[in-house]
Amino acid sequence: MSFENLASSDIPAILFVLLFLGLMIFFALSGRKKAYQPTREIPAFDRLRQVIGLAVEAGKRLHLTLGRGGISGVEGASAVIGFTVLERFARVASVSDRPPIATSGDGTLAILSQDTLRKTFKTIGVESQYDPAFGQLSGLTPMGYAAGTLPIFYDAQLAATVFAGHFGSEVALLTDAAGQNDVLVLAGSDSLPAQAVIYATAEQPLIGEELYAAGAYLKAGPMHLASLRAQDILRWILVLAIIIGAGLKFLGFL
Amino acid sequence: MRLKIPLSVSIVIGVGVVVLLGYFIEIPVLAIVQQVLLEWALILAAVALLVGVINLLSVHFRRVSGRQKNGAYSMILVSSLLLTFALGALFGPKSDLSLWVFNHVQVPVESSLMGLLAVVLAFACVRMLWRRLNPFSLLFLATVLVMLLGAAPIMGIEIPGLHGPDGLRALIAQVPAVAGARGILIGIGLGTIATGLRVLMGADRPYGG
Amino acid sequence: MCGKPNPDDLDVCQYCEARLKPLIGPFEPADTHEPEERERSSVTDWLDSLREQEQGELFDAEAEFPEGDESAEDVSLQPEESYPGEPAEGDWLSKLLPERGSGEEAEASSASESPEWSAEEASQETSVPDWLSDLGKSIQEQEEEETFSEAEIEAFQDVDLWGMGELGEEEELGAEQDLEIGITSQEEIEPAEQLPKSGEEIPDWLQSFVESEPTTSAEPEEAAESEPGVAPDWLVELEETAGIETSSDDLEVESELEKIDWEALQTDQIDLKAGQETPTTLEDVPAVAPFALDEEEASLDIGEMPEWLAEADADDSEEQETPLEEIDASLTPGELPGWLEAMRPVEAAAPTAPFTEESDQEVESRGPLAGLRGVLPIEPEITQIKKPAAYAMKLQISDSERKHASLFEELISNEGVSAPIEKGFGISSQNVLRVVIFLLLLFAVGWPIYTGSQSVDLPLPSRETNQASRMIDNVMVSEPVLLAVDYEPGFSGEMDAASASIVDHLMIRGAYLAVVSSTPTGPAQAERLIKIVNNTAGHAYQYASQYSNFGYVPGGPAGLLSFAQAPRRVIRYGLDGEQVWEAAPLADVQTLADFAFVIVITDRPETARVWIEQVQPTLGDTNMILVVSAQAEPLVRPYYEGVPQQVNGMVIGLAGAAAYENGMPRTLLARKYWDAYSYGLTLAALFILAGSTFNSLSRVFAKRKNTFKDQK
Repeated sequence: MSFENLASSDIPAILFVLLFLGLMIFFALSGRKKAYQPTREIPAFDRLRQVIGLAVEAGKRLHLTLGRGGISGVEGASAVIGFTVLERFARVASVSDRPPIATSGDGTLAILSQDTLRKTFKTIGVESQYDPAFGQLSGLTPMGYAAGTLPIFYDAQLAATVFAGHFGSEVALLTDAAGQNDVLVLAGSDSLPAQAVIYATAEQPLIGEELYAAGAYLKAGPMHLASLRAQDILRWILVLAIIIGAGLKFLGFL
Repeated sequence: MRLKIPLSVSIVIGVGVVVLLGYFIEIPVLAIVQQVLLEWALILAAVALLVGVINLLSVHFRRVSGRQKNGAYSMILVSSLLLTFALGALFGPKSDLSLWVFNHVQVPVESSLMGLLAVVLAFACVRMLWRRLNPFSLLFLATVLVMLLGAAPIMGIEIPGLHGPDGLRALIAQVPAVAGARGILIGIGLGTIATGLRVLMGADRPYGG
Repeated sequence: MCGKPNPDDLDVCQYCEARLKPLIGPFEPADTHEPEERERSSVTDWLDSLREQEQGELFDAEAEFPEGDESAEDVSLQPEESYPGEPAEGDWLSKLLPERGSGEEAEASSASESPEWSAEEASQETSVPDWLSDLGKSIQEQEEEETFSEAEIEAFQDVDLWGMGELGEEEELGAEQDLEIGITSQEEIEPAEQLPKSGEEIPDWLQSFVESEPTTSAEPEEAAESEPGVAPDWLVELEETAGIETSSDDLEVESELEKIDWEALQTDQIDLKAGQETPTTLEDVPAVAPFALDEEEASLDIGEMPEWLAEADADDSEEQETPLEEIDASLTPGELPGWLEAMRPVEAAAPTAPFTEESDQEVESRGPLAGLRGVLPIEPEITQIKKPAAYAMKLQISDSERKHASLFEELISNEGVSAPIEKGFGISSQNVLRVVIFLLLLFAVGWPIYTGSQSVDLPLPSRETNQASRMIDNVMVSEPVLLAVDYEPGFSGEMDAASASIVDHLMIRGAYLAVVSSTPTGPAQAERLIKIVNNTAGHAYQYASQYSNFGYVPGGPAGLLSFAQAPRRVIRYGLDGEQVWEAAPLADVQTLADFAFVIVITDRPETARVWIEQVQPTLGDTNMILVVSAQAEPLVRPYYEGVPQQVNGMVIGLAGAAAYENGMPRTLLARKYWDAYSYGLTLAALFILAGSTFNSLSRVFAKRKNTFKDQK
């Protein structure tokens, strides 16, 4: 099989996925023996941890918005990260005076956010305090979603809001409103236009794939750490592959 | 959602693996199963949309009935939703009435919010240097200015080297912006694969298992 | 009374007629008075020794702990730290101990039998006379006991706090290490009996307590070894201790340290306090006066207080009641140093004890009591009966304590009250700025549209635009074209204009448009687009005969993939409920590859990617054209630039549409908006430039100003 045929086939993709899987399992097993801590500092997560603690102590509310990407597409991954953050929120703040709330711009996400909250409330034994209104659908179009989410930021008891999911440029309306009301904004998205807007408007932006490290930094479980290590390794492999490929192409071997 | 943990997890893993293998390996039976599963996903997504709308309605209906703060806005939302739904159900989505509502209510409202977004973004750019005065912010701002000024002639005047297919604006849009976007997308792709594998392994369970 | 000598057999002074012998039997000192005597003598010695040293230094908390907090804390946490070169303070205690041993009894014997620290407690009683006046009790013994018990509690609090952390560690570390620690601490505590440098600051009984509790004392011992000013923090102490004790496995220790949080420590503290060996001494103590702090303790506590509380305390430091009543009579008011005089209570809050004035009492001139004043009552006590002092039922607290309590009460009451929302000024400067931006942009965009200005030249078509145009030029009449309208109503302003030219071109060519959408509002958006193009370009495209609307395909990428694989299964009915595939141009369409080409109109780069990645592979030789928002260009361009091309032509934003119209040439929405677009962008860029320059300069100047202030 020639290189072009191999490159155009699905074999490299399968191998890549299998390698990823193997690394994750390896690091998950090895991580049991020796705890691994992510070495790169992401200030946004440090700040978030502080704010979560302060918010719970002060009886203030935490808000998480999951965007409008749905769960079945590539945007679903960022939404899953959002659920992880929501679960951490709920664990910490479910027994506070004001439990966390989640908003979304997609029906599936709204249902799953309710389910995540219900599950977490049940896990920590406060299921009776669960209210389906904690997981809301704000709107079904980007601007409808933005307009439906805006009133939450005018709640004087809101301490922090996290944007974790898929957004468009309409996220600027939300981050700006939150900033005007002195609400800490931690925002990350898989969407590049949204990242550009977030960089200019959010207090704590998450750039690139930093959002996907949320689980590891919020100590959501060993698999999050393992997958983060696998990502780091595979990123370097890809970088080397790109450099080598570009070099070979430049030299005329490809 | 009501299934016991092992069953729901096993269903998730099984469906995920089948769809993934169907994407990579061309086996007729697998393709048929994959197609059926995708159609189910399609139906579920449509139902989820409906459930989401019901959730939206219930949340705002509760605000109205509970006489909560800003209940009047919720009242407008609930009545608008019901009215639009009734128009679509009675006259069809392609009827003049339904399209009138869309063209004269939804589009203007959302477009005006988009216009507001332009103001917000301009304001955010102005404030950004106050918040974060560093080389990256300066680079960000310089790029914004080049892209804005290069997108159209400045007061009707085209500047050589800035406008046109070979201008600075096109160069930035086609080389560094694309390269940066690719780099970020590769990282996002890795994160997406990691998240997907965690879901397949049952480590991440956004489905309430 | 006169002090002149009288014969032994006289009952009444021959000079002043004062009674020399008691009326009721000969006076024999009761056992209960013994400690009092001892105490007075010891107090005398103690104060004498104090005077021998620098007067006032030992009492002056400010001198001992100039800046307070950390040094105070350090001292309190280093009870074992011994200073052998300081014999002065050992004197009074060394005098006391033999005296106790030779004395009578119950206390002495118990002192020898009980743990050493309990014996030291007794000496501490005598060494802390200040507390007595704070409590203001009438019965001196009871007062001493109460004061002592309070001191004991304070000491327990200190020791427990640190000892608990140690215990918590040790529970994890195992019994062998416990033993080691015990031995080590015992050895190191030995010299502590020589008394610390500032015995008043570090009570001896606390050291004895530490001795008797090797596990709890280990940590303060190690804390003493560390630099006092550097490591006052509890966490640092814990870490150091853990590091010493668990050098074999640092990782485990780190993880254990992570488990220890402040709250847990506090809880453990309380448990230990409640259940530890303290009852053996506390049992004898009838009551503990709340808020009774001696001067030293108060000064030490400042180190642990928050600033606001420390300030409040400092305000009242001069008002601290200094107990002088029990000080030996030899220390007459005239001989008091100034600082001690200043510490006299101005007005005792506590009820006055029914003491008789000592100056009125007789000085014994002979016998073993010679030189002592007032040991023998001049008159029987029965004759001195007074009306008992009236004790107030309310809590006896000082002003500073009251202030602390009120502050604490205020804190608690504020917890339940939600902070009021600050009402800012009606219009802030930021809002003014926003309004200014809005008005400028509105003018720049609205004026050209209002006047219909078309003065700005349209751009030339780019390569990707030309390719798209050429493909559409090849479409034949009634050839089916799949048109995906996937943009949101909010982006109508840009996307209507961007796509109008290409839809117009398709209508000119007479293509059959099969419209589909993967967003819920897409079908209505498509109807709107066709209507706009009909109206703007003068077409009359009719539903069903010239175009059909497949409606909404739910499910995102999964839905689109399913649609790409089997379009006839996924879509069966059109927006009007008709059988879409029965229309003549679509009758031969089985897969998406049967369309002439696919045009995707979207504002989102992700939607474009989904169409490219899920649908394009199923198209075969059928081409794909993208009409995208300007924000999506960086993401979709690689699909156009790549080899093989996955996207065969593109129209990007309003600029692309303007170029397309310029190439046609046609005058549609892009031409209409082009002037407004040009002026609006220019003005926005200039505004951002000016505002950013102003902000960055302001920031720099503000920073310099602050730096200058700091330097000043």
